[in-house]
Amino acid sequence: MNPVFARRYELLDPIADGAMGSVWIVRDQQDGQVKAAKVLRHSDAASLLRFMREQSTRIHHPHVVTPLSWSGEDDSVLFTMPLVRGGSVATLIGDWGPLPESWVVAVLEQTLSALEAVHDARVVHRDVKPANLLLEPTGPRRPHVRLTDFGIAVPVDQPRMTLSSTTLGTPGYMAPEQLRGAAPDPRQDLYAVGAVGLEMLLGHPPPFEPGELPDSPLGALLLAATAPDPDRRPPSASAFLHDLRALRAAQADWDPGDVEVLDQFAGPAHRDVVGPVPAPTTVLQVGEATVAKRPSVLAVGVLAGTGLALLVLSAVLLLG
Amino acid sequence: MEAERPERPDKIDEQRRLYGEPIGALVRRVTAGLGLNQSRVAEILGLSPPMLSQLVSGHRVKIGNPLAVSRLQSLLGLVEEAPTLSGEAVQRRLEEIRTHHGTLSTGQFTHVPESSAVVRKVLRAVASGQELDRAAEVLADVAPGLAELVRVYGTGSEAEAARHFAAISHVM
Repeated sequence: MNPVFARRYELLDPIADGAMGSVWIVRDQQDGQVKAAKVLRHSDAASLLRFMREQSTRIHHPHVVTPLSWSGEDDSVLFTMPLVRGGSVATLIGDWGPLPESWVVAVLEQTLSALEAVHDARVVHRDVKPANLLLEPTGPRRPHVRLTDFGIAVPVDQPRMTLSSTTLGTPGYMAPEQLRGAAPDPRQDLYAVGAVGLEMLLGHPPPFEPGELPDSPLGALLLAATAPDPDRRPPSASAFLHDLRALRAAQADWDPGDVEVLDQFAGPAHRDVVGPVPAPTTVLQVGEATVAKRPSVLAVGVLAGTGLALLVLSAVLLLG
Repeated sequence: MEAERPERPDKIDEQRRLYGEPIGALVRRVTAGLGLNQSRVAEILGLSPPMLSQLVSGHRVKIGNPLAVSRLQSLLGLVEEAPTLSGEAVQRRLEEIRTHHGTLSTGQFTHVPESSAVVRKVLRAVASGQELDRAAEVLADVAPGLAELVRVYGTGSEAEAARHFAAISHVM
């Protein structure tokens, strides 16, 4: 028998473990669906605060993973998200090494389209990296990215919720000013996108040597995005996206090369738990539709308010 | 599903041509020799479990990531060496192999970077040349040794950094 959380979520398999909690595959007994869930155990007030803010940051966009619902039990909390089955861009680089430009451009375009919506909602993600760019299992077809882990995301113009002086983020993808504790700025996410692009092209994580940087229009664009001086980066996700699309126009139709996104849950270890591979065509349609469509953004402020209310509630539960 | 298809003789032959032996045989040598399961081997190679499983079954011929090839070579080397090493030393080598990102010259696992190069990388990862210059200026009065270090490793040439490192190595 698997443990059941809050008499609703059956914990099936752990899939990732991080500083900000672990991620599990769960079965929601209310609707029978298999989902991903971030679980935080024995939480202190600061991490609980971050957790509630994360689950309440609900940006509805085809390239963003949106939390579904949350639950608490004793001193543990959990929120669910749709399960994304193709691993992440980190998995893709691990499986294939340096990736063709077509893949780099496609992944970055979708990431920037997600960040447009995130930044429009006045939020800075602050932890864009290959492992946080999940992929639908699209095989050799055009990939479908979903930006996840808003665990350390912050509103641009709200007072900081924590007074700790710790710098949060992942070394190598963090803009130098973010490393020094600068106030959140969307251009810090653009630096991270540039670093992700270089990692995809070169097949290894930062730091990158000046000599190995590709001498191409894409290389030049990524180099500008990773400029130490934020004023020398593209001014916004939209501007960066515009430059990338100009590059894509010069490319032929989708050519995957040898690369494909594998279903990470198709193996014998997971199949019984997760179920069969869903029909892939639906994913492709969503992916193609997003290229032209403007992102729809939900007012995050309102939801953050709700999150705070829930937080007070859970704090009361915890103390009681 | 794909992982459980029977092995394909033509593809296995192709693997033998590329890697000397079928990938399945190589991976089994690593799992048996080092007492690891296949998903741990996938993690160390940097390959996803379904990818390794397709390679082992011969469903897929070629290892796409060149770093994974060199890590596999290193693991096979470690299998030979393991009987003479302590368990702790084996674990340490596994961690080195997992985090190894350099390219391999001739099947030999060598990756100890120059310490002076590491210091240069660290400084340049966190600050621009201009910032390092200014930092050296600010530090000059308070800690001249430190100022020199920031200048030499931060903005100087590789050779300069190596010389500085050699000059102080006797006190470390």
